[in-house]
Amino acid sequence: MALEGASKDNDVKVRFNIREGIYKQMPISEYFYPKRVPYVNQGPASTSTTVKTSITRIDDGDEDCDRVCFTVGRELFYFGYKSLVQPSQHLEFLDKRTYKGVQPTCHHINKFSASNETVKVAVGFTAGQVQVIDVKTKQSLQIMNEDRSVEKSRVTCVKWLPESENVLLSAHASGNMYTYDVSQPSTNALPIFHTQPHILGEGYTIYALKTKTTSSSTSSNGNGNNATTKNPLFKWIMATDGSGIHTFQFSPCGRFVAVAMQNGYLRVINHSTFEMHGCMKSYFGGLLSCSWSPDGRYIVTGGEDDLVNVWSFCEKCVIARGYGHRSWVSEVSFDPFCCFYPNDSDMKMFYGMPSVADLYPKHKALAGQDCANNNSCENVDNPTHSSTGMGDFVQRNNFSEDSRPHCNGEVGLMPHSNMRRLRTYSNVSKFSRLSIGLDPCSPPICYRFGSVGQDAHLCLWEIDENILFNSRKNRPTVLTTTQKRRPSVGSGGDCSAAYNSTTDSGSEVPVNGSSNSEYSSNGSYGQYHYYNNISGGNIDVSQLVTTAQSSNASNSGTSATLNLQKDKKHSRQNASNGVASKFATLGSHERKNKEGKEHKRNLSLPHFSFRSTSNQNGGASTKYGILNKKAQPPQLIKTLGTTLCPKLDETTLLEPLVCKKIAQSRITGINFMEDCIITTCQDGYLQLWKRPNPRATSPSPDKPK
Amino acid sequence: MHPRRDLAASRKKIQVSYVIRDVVEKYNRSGVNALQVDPTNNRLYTGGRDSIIRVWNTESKNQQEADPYVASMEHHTDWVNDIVLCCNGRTLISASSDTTVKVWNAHRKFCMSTLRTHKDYVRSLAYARDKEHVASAGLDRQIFIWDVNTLTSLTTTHNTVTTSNVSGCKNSIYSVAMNDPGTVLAAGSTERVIRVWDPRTCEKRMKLKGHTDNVKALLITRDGTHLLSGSSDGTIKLWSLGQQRCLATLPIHREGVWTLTTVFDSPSSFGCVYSSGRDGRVMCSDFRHPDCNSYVVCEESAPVLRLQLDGKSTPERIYCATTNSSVHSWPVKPESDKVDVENMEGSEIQDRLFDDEKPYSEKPCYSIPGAACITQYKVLSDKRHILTQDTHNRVVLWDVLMAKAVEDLGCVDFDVEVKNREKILYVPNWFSVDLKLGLLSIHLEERECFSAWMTARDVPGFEESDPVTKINYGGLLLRALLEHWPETHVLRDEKSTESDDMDESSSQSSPSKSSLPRKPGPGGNPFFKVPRHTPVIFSESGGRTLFRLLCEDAAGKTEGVSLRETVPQWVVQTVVENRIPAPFVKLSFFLQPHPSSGIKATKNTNNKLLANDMLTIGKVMEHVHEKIICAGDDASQSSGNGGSGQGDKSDGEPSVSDSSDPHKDTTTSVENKVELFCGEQSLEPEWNLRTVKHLIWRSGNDMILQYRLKT
Amino acid sequence: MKGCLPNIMGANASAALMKEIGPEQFPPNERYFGLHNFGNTCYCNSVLQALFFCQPFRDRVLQYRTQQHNGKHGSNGKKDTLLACLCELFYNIVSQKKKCGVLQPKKFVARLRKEYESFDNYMQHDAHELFNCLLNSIHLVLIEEKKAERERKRLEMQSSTTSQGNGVKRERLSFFRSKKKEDKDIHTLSSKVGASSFVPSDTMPSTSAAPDSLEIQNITSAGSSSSLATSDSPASTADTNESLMGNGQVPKVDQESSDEGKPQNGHLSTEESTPSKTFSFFSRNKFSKKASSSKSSELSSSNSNVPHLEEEDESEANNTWINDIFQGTYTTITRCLTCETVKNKDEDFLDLSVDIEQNTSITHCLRVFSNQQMLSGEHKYSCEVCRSKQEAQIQMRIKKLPTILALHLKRFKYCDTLNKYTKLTYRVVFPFDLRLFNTTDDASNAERLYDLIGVVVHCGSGPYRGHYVSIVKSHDMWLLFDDDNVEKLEPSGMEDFYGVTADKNSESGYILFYQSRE
Repeated sequence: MALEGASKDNDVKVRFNIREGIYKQMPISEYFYPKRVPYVNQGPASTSTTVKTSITRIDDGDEDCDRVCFTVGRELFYFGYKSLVQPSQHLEFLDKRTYKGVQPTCHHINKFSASNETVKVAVGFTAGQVQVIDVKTKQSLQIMNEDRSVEKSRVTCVKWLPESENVLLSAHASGNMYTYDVSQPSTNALPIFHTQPHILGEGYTIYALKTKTTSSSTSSNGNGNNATTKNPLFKWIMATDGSGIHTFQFSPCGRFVAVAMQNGYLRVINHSTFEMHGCMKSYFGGLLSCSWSPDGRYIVTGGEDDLVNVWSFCEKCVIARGYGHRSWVSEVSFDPFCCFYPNDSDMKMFYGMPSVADLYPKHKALAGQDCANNNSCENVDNPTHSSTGMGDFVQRNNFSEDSRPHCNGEVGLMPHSNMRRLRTYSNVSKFSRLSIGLDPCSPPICYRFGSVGQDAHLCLWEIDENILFNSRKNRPTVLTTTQKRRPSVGSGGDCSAAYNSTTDSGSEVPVNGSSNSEYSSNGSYGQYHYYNNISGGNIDVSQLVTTAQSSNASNSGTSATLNLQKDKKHSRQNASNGVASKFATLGSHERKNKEGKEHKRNLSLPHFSFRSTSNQNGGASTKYGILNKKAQPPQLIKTLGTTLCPKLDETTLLEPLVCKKIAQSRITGINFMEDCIITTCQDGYLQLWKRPNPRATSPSPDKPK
Repeated sequence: MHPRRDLAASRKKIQVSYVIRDVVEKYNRSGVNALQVDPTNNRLYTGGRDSIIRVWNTESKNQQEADPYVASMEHHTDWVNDIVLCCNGRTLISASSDTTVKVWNAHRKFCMSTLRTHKDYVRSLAYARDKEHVASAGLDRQIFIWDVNTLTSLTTTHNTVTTSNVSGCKNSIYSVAMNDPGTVLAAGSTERVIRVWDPRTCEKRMKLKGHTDNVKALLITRDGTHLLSGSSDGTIKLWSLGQQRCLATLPIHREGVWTLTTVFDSPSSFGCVYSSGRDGRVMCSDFRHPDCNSYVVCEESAPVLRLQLDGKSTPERIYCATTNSSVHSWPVKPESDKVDVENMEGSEIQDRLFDDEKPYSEKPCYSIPGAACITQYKVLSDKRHILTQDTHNRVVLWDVLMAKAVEDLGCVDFDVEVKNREKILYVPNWFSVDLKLGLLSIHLEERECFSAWMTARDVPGFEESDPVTKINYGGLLLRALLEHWPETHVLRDEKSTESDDMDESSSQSSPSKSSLPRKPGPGGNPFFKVPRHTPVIFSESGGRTLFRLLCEDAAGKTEGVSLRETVPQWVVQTVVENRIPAPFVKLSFFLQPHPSSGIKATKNTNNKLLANDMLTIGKVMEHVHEKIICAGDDASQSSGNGGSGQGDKSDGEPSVSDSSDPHKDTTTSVENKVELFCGEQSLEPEWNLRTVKHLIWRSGNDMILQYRLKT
Repeated sequence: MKGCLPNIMGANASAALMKEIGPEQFPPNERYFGLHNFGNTCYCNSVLQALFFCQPFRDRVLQYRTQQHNGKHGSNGKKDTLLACLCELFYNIVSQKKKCGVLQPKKFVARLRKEYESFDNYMQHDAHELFNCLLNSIHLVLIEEKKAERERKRLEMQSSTTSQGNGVKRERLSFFRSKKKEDKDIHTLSSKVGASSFVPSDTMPSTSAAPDSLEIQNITSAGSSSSLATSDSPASTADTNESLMGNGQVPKVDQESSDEGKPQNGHLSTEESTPSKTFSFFSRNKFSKKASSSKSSELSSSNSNVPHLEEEDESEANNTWINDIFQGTYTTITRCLTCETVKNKDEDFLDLSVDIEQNTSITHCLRVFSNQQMLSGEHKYSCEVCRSKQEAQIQMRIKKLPTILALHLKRFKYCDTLNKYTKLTYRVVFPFDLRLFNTTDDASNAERLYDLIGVVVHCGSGPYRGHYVSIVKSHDMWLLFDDDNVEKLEPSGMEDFYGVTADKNSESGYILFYQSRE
């Protein structure tokens, strides 16, 4: 495709050209080259670890300085990075550690607590341990899971919770994640978790540590360990099939975590409530990396299908895929310095998108506390958007089909053939207004992200307005999801995520981000209900449902039993309200413009109530209908063509802005700095790409002729 | 003698082609690739796939009966892909698939010069009006920028042009555009990337990525800030060159967009843009008010190749050229009919939008008719006649040798006519045909041109001559095509003796020498002439055109010079030196008694025979009768008598000759006595050996013929 | 050469495997048996294991054995075919009492060496070559049996009806023809396979291809005399050439072929002059066949509709479960850049041989397989619509996706400078599940998901020395079969078999087996 020409030249490039100018690779100074790992020393590929970097900007008093951690083989390096403006050495060597027996696999600097005195770094190891070191004082502070009693498989990713001094999350090759509080002493006791899951999500389960019983049992066992086991606080079982986790990333607002897994799923979970916000699946193969856009609206993922996927947080579906890599995409990252997006109010003005603040108001609560308590910051989805507000807005935007009020169900269907034209022209009008002289002041929306892969290539991508607002014509709708999935209603496990989107009232409507049920019509606070259903020892399905019911439960809490009871209290009336509103939503979304007959069938109640009969809660709980009890192997579940994984022609296909071979072997990391791009090579060194002009990264104005 | 000829020979093999056509080809024969309007003189120029640029009078459009045809400008030898009218209508530049760019005096309708810098089809031209610069681009990935003023001042002595070459395009270029001041040059190619240069310095400025297929049409605003592109992916994209990004994408066509045109009423933006392409729909998109003023102008029945607006101050009509040979003119919405968007409510806008799915006009207001285009042909088995069918469904029979139509059969079933003319006859291929111009083009190549030897007796129209005379189709035709070339008039006696001496070693020339009568006098051949207006083209085989002239013009002085430079050696040998480089083809075969004949098989070693492949079965029958039947069963005897003809006796093989005694009238009697078989097939006496070999025996091995006596 | 040493640890290793898997987890009704190496027969062992754990294949082989034993085809089934030997071997494994152990595939190897001269020695061989030969051999056995079966049925039918002299004659004749056709089948299939699936052979027996049916008409139209015999012979020599050329060669767009095809009959026909990724002989071959078939179809049209029936029979007869399991179809798509008209041409394949590049994925290699090529410059395309030579894009895309997608990575490449074959140790990653990007728009099951079920791995630095092992998936477990040794493998260990970026020596995936999920 686009690579026809490029495949001819197999040379490693040291510069590339984009519209803002030329990126040049800086000569590699001493410390950019901590260690070259010759192949022979690596041993078999499966035992060697990926070379990784993590970079954090630390405000340590006198100057802003970026700190770089870098692991290669058995060694961990710690650098200070100075701006490229300084001519000589850009990296200042600060510390180095060499491990024996185990190899560091990943690491993360705690930005929140970092200061002149202390810089805490969490390091994960091949055997499953997590160590916390202070690279400033060069102390080893803590080792979690030291005796591997919690987890034996390798740590694949470790990260401090956002704005938390002590709580970290580690992910493992076994598919489990653990929440550790490093302020608590680490013990070697076998942690005992509640037998009842704390949360039973679609395809994942979270267990809370049984604190009290643990202490009693340990004392009764009399094994001499009198400390109460506080760690890990939570055990996250992210996959039923044992698929490993490759990485996870916290959202810019700090409330959500996106987990990329070997089974191809990306799960976006509110890590305080453990509720799943959304989910996507790769076209095929594992997902190896993910990254949040700086405004939290989009997540890009990269994986074993050689593709990068752009997933919209609001719409909860894949809106674009990018093909440019010739092998697996090992790392993706947004370039925060080349992303241009309007502030929240502008966004609403122009595009009818809810602001990020609307979606999830920023909160700062996690620091230094048992994060389980943070569930109390309920109010998750503050309904700043009232339906009337939406209506007003929509009327202003007569040009965009996308801005039709899906949630209110007021709008009838348009003839299909006309829709295409409308969309077409509306776009032009929008752009002509924006760009052909009418409103030149407002810069076009554009997100830049980069990806590196096992093909030794660096790709830079852009998502612009065309993709964001014009790419939806083929997008699978919720309704098609239902249709497709109907035959496989019997499926459990992972599929339920998709199913959730059909049953969850309104909130999963993928097309318009503004129609999120989280600002559902009556404007009351959302509440979470956990419903679980265990059959034959096989954890099947749990539906997380946001209801419009005003909540009296202040705390979703840690107790699973409480949640079960709550579920039963669920009022019939509210549920049916939810159903009705959902139907309206679906109706307005029927894009394929099916004839009325079929249309009605799709919306017929009996279909939904059929499922509800299998639900112990009766008809009232149709909306979180139990899927089934037959445990089918997960691979039989069809995800293709649903919002989880649209077909190829249902999304926009991106071509890379730049696609260059920049090394001889795999590239394992990419970080965007203000004045440069840093890439990490599996051969054990860093590459530094100087930006054309550190100051001016915005598009140059039209040249006058 | 021909100093330049070595040079020519060192290049690729050169082929000779000619086109069978009328003296005046008034109407476009095939699709029209390019249009230009000269509003001051009311002229429309069309660049056709039939290689002819025609000039039409657009004033006569109201009187339908008046013939709009003004003149033809003929010099190209392949599709004219693009034309540009510059210098206020005085000069026309044309680009063609014959790899040349030509400069024409548009008023006096003659070709001023030919630019041969391109190495492949020249697809597109761009014109910077303010500077009188023209850029040409083609499949050779090259872009050349020409200063038109320099081009028009060229003379035969002062004939070097300097040109700037814009490089960097990695794929074949299908479209190129410049803004009027000549500050921005853009090219669209199969790379799917639009590359932009500064034509003043030829420096790269940017690449615009976004299209997913070939880019076939480009427009740039006067100030060079915006660019519009039409692509085979079916979309039109608007780009900001300042921001280097796509501002808008219009997927308004169902298939590839091939042509865009507009009236630039603002230096920095596009107003109404007319677009069309493979789907035949002509769309008008108003970029200032896209919501309401966009509409379907018309729907053509064939893919639209080019659009051209015409009108005094504002566009009144649009000319539409398609793959069909006629050009239609359609009315466009007058400016007054357009809607003032600013004062309209959204709902109104939408209502209007959907009204316009229907074309604005159903019928063209005016048409320039086109002529029929040959779409199908079949070379008949005599390898001399061709049956064709054209777009009007007429079936015509042509004579390749005479370069003219023989019979117009009217609208009949082509396949039936072909079948009716099928004969059991095999003649080797000696020419190839193509229809790229909508007319018959015949190509002669050295490899096969002389492969068709015929006995004059067997060729209709040649019966008068000595029946033993062997004629060679290719040789005769070449001589006819070049008969006006003075070189061919040189007395050949001395020359031929000279060449005889020279060619003593080259063994196979002897048979051909006897074939053409040697007498001093005018060139040509004694049998026929081709029409004097027949264009003759010398070109690299399958590639670039070297020289084109009309048959009758070979007598001209300049043409003579050019001919001496271009005519390849193999043609010179034939038309000047009177030698046909190809010998007769010999066939070896076995003669065996038919199993049912009761005659004992002779020894294998002695019944292999060698003969000219033109030898008729009747002659073989004679041979059987005389040498085998009459001479008894002793096979060794036949070998003793065999070699009176051109048989290669060194092989010790017997041969059959037809030149032994042509007047001996034994044929009819022999027919009644001897029967010959090839396999199961009984052979007719008028068939020849090669026919039997290719149509009945059908194998590379030596043919086996079986004989038996008729009772 | 480690595999070539007799592994004395075999027995112990099997116990270790038992322990590794665990008696509870050990799948019931499953056997994991290593295969003894008779001296450089690892190429054979690796392919056999991969095919054994290819469930559809195993099922059909065992089913075939049952049929043979039940005597359904009893009289026809020869005992000594390669297929019969394979049946015995597979049955031997599944009927073992023990769960693990080592077997000696003696009979199979002996038969293989007998049947294919090229394998009749103790040298290293190409596992892919063996794979092709094996499929080919089984295919032919099945075809032959099918034919025999049909012939028997026909004879039965004939004896029951009153036979007219005319009818008998025709039957005899058609029998003769079908015999002849068979010979041709042998030729074409082997050439097809030998050419690494690249040679688009029209003569390949196919389920529905139109050219084939024409050919059959040709054959059944008995009256047309010796012309048949003669028209066949050039075609078959072309086939031989194809198979010779095809091996390991990258097909290049060859314009010569079309140039030659055209002047022969002197008219501009895209049929003949369509350039495709073929060798020059191909179009000539096709040309000759076209000519003969068009002629014969006229003749046969007078033969009532008997030939039609036979034609269907014949194409059905050329379809065996080998085709059901492994056969897919790819389409050569040609698009003129001037008129943008698209032309398609279908071809069948049993496996895909893909070129590989350093640091790529199999996904990318498959994309490259389908990359657009331009017919430009002197190799322009004679477009029927434009009636002239124009540039065109040509592309090969998968139209019918096979049940088992066998991907052969062209790791052995002829190196001109060294004048010998060298191994490309490139790192080519392959995911556990796979979808194809290079499908046609009209492919019915274009988005089917494939699961990796087996990998034949080549270890070592060159084609002439080294070792083959295979990795197979069985009951959601990954197992490594190294001759008589069987080990359990963690999925993460697959990384070791992708190939390397820097070194000469590598253990790298050579043939990948993906199974469709549906």
